[in-house]
Amino acid sequence: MSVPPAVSMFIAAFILLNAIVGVVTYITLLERKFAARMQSRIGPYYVGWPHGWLQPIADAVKLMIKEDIVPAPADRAVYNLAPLVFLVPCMLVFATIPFAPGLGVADLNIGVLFFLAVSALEIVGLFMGGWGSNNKYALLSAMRAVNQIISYDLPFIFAALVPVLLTGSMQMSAIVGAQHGLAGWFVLYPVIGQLAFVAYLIAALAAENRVPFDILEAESELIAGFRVEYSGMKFALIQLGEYAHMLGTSFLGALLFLGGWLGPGPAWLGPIWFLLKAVFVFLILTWVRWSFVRIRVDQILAISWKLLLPATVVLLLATGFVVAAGGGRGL
Amino acid sequence: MMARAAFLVIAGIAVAAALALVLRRNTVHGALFLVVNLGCVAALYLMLGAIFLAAAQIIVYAGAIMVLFVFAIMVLIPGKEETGPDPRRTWRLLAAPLGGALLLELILLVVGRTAAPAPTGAAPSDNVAAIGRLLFTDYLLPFELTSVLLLAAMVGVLLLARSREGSAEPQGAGPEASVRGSAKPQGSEPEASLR
Amino acid sequence: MIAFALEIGVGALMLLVFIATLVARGDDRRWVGWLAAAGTLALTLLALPLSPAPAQLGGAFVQDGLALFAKRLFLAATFIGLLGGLSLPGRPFLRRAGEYHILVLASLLGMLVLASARDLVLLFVAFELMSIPLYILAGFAKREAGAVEAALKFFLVGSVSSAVMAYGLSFVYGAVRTTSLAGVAKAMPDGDGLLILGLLAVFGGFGFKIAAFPFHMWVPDTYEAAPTPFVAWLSVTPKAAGFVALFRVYFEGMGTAVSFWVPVAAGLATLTIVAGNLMALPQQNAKRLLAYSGIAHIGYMLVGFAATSASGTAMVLFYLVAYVFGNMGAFLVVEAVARSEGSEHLAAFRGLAQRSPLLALAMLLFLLSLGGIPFVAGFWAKLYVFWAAATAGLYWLVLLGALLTVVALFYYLIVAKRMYIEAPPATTRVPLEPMLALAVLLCALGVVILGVYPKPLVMAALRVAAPLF
Repeated sequence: MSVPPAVSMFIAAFILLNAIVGVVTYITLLERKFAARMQSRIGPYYVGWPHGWLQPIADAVKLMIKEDIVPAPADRAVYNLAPLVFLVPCMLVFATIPFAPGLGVADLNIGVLFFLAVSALEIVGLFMGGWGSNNKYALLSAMRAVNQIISYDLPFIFAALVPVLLTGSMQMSAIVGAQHGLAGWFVLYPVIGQLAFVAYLIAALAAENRVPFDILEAESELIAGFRVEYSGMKFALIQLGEYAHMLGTSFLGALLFLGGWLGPGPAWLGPIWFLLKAVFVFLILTWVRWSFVRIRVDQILAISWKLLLPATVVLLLATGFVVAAGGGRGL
Repeated sequence: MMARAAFLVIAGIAVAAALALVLRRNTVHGALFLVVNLGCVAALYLMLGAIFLAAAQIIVYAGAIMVLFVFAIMVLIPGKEETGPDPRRTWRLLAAPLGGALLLELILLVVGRTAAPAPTGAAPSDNVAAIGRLLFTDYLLPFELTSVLLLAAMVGVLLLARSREGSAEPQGAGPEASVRGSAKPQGSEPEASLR
Repeated sequence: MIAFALEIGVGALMLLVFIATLVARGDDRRWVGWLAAAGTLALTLLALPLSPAPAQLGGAFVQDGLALFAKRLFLAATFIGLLGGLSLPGRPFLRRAGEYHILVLASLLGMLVLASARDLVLLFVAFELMSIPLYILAGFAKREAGAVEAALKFFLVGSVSSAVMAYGLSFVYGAVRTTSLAGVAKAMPDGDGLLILGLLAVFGGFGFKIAAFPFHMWVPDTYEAAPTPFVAWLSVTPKAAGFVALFRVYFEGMGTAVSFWVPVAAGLATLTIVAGNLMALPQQNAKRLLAYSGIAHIGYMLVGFAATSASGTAMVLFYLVAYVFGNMGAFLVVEAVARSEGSEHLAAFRGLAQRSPLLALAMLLFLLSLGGIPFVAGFWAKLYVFWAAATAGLYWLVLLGALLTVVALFYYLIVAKRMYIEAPPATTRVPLEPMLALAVLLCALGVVILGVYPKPLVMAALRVAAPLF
């Protein structure tokens, strides 16, 4: 008995979506525990024994039963649509990520490009939220976001293109396939790999609007940024989207630089390895978040345009030369 | 059959979004409808199998260019997102019969046309390598020219958007001058990035 | 590679100017302009001995006689325009000379490629590369009243026309399924409605670029507010490039199908000649006068286009050369007078003959050439164009053109009257920068030599136009 491709794809997407939501919920707990450990605290403890493992569920339930408030002067249609518009691209990025050979929704020929394209859409929802709230803090935050995201999109893309160039393909499974061997991971590629990985992490931090690049939700200036007016389920959706995007970026980083599902042991361990590597990338980002102070707006823009962008362009050029000299891992 | 239905739905949304973009007074709503429209066009590319083009369309238009549009709107029309009544409305209404005639003509031309054979020698649409190869062989010159164009546009934007040259320019200080100074980048930025 | 020599040269020159601008220090950076002018002169001289080369890039780029003819014209005109602009006073021209020349060279590069483009994609990209720097240059003196308005008008009208053109090109591609102009020409005789609709829309886009009548709105305001040496160049070279592209798209390889364009071009020519000349009549500002008269000249060239024959095309090419010298020269004299009198009003020309007889003589030559008086270049240009149209049977168009030439003479001679008959407001000479004087001299020489001995150029034009049909 064979299942039509549309149906099997639908089922795969359904399973993936739920898995992602589950992982994302627990990623928040991980972050809180990790942050607490860095600050010599304990973190969430009481909901669920041991160590508050039910806390994310409790949070979700709490947010769901909270009152949904729409500010009177808000632009209702835009305000109400914003969380969805924000969430959808954040979820869509997972569509092209294969979690093991053949285990994914769609392993497109242009997988990396698809990822980048879809995550570029995130800004639309963010802007809608900031503008639709009709609140000066939210609007300021949206403007800062627009500024920051166009500044860091290019370095992010360029850094992500380094492994693509080394592989000679934008297909995610091909990129993983090029990282076999003991020193095969692209992060271990001499010089270029490490630089690209660092650039990727910096740009990812900025793209996720995390400290030290969190000017758009700077608590001390803008309260909570573009989502200051949101509450209840809509707020939950925005949070979910943010963490999903974060996780997606971590997965992409693990796939591009850390060899994806490759690892010792039998093949069925692949997805586990992949998840562990993604969590590792996520923890690096979290570690930075809880260790650094916020950077000023002009410094953020200067870092991007005057340092990161030229550096990544040069890096990409250097990679091109390396590939031209026969250093690529083309198929 | 499925494809036809999907096409009709997507194309309908695209046309509706385009109409809304033109008819809505609120510029920010207009910009958002433009995102919808561009997204639909990307979906149409996808239906034609041009995956690379669709992704590029989303990155460049729905992502970067719309962001710039929105930014320009927010910076240049603070607190006045609604544009007032059209001062030359009657003149502009003259465009309606002309546009209608063009539409009619197009419908007459397209209906009853049989599909022409696919162009020969086209690259596989989702093969980035093939597209790249084409770009660096047959289309090398337009590609390089575009880079010259971007350089010229960049020089131009810096030239026009720079609000004050040094400090010894008394007439550059008035509010009028700053308005004039800021009026231009609105024009040239989307232009620069469109190409 | 040899086929791309000029394009590579201009591109390299542009980058050189760019780097020179980056390393330049101090407030007076006009020396960068000398670099650009010298480079353009060198490239002009380089272009003279070049001979046609086989088509490149799968037929998209062709270095044939027409392309070379056009490229020499563009380079020479750009050289004269740069000479005229070298000594521009004013803070932006001192500090931003590098940017000015980069943009001029970028636009020139677009024109050069446009003259060779035989592919719709290349054509469109070259068109944009030509146009976008022009928008910026129009607003170059952004502190001056009207400059931003002029640039914005130019930009808006120009980008709408580009959009119309791209829209038309998409229909053309949809109808013929290829971007090569040879393919378009092959499909044209079938009379596909979609193709014709697309080509008509493209024609509208071209109409904006060459400033034919219903698409001329930006011309007077932009010319009035933009720096004059730039306008002198703007008023001729992009128009010439537009005409060359028109020939490529609508004539080359079309065979008998070209006759389809006769009514379109003839109608547009009629409108443009009538409107341009009549609107020029009441003008009191010299630049606006030249702007409207320039529109009328586009109309005369469209007459030659409407002839849809090799001789018509050749005559338009000759007209273009004559127009380049005459119109640029007139604008440069306006610049000289305006710089001394601080006004572009026609009254500023009063008694110029007594103050600076040579400058007045040059202006008179240019005006006579533009008006079409025998033994200056413009006369032959008009005569040849009318002759070509008459050969094609467009007698009514010739009659109309000849009638309105009289109107044109009237307003040109009003300027001459001011220079030669009215009393001067002052007796001092009009000061003239040496480089501006050189540019005016070059234009005057061109007008006179072509007026006395037009034969070689006519023959050359006929030679390059013949393969189109």
